[in-house]
Amino acid sequence: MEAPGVYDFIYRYLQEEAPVLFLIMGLDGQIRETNPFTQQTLGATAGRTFQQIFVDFHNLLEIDRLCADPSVVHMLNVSTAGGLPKTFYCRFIEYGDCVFVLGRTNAQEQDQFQRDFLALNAEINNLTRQLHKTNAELVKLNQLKNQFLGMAAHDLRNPLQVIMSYVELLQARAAPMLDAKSVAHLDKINHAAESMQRLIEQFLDVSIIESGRLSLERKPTDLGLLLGEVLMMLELRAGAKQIELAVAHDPAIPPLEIDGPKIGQVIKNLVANAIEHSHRGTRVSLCTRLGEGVVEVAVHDQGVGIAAEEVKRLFMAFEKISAKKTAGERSHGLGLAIAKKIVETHQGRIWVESRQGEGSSFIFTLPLAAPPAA
Amino acid sequence: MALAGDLLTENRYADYVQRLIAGEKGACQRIVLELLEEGMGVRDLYTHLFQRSMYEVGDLWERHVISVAVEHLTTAITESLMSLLYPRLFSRASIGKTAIVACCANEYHQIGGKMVADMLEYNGWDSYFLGANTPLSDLTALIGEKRPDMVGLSLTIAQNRPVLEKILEALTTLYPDLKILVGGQALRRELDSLLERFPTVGHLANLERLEEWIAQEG
Repeated sequence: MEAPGVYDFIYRYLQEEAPVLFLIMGLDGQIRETNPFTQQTLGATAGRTFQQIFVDFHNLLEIDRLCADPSVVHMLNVSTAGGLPKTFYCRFIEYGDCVFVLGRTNAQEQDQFQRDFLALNAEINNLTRQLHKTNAELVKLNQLKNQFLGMAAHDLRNPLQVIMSYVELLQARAAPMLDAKSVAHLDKINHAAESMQRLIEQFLDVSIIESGRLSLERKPTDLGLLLGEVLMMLELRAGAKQIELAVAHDPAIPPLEIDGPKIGQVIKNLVANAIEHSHRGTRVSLCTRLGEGVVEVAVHDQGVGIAAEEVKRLFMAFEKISAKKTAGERSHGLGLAIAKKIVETHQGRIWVESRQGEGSSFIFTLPLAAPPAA
Repeated sequence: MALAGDLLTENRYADYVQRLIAGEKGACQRIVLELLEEGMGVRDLYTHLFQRSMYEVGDLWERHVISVAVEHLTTAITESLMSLLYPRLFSRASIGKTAIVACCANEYHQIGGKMVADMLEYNGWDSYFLGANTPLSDLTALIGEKRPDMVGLSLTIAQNRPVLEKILEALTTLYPDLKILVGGQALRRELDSLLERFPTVGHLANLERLEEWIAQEG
């Protein structure tokens, strides 16, 4: 092929096919001609200006400066038509009244980017796999924990029952023959055994709840009567700390389709907590209110209150907060978690409003109508 | 002709491959989820859909029908589709055996190795997948920590064979009683010479052979 023919061929290749930046512009930056690659990549078409395409965020790109030495390769970062930025390495060649701009990307850089991207993608996939695996292991561990909790609680129940029975027997029959100190000792044993019994019941509840076996036996229940029963159970405890128990029940509340014993457990838990966190001579109030489609039950105390940052941990199992019970009673961090689960299984909601040093209000709602059977 | 219990017909497979090459991840995911819902087993899915389509993509690339970019995209999509099976894989009861599966250093094709790790998991093994380009030091460290019942090594590119041999030399010296299995496309040729050099090392040609081996191990 003759030399001019070869140059024509090469020029035509640049103009029509080459994946290189090829642009002819006037000295004023007006683009006169580009090749398809430049058009597609940069949206650079005749009629637009160089400055519109190559936006320098810090200084106005000076064509004179760029054309000063055609052997110098200038790195230019540009936004492409596809929205992703690209880096081109360009030469600027002044020729007559126009400037040729020839540019390329860095193939090595692109290869490296591609390798890094693929490696990252593979790593993400592998981490996803590991995450699923770890999650499955945690689920199994949680199941084991629940099984253990249930088994341990069951196995502890019987011997404890024996202890309590014999203590009661001794208190009933042997008390007249014992001195005051021994009677007091029996009382302490009974008290400790009752505390242990409550804890075992809670362990069993947690085990049942967390293994998804909590089921409700809904029956029409008079909430007012339920409150009365709970308060009767706690009168002695409140009396021991000279705490007044007050009730304000909304008589408009109809019988509710609820699991009475379980809701009773929730109320008892909240009132017992209120008593334990209250100082001597204060008041614990229990209020009910008929709302829009729901019934609201609130337990207010004038106790130590709860720090704002601890509120979110309050309803989590085994979590303990800094607020101490006023008579040194022990907490295992289970009662509120169990209460939450029972309320939510009833499609209700439970929350707390509290101020440190001023007291707390534990409130839960129950829907007026039971949900339709599944 | 139907494959894998009549669930994966040739038409359905062809549709999947076409969408895979076109980069239609959503459509591929739909097909996989439908197959799973219709009862396709994990091994069948891996062998007759993922593996077969990956071999086909590799063949198209070798014949210059598709570009590297397309090949990479199909690999990325396939890996992400494999993650759809993780809830099924990891919920099985453990049989108390452990395996470590890895790709040799410089080996970036990890799907085959991952399939082996996943099938082991599906069969109750506790499998640790180290991924592509695993340095020997990482592999030996994990072997020392986990004391696995088996180590699996994957090789896809024939040029990486010397690396595999170096790894096998190290492992068979450090852990002479360790069960090592090798597999991958690159071992379709000259396998005998490798097994002759490392007589304690075994070979798994495919996932079916893997499940047979698992059944034998008990």
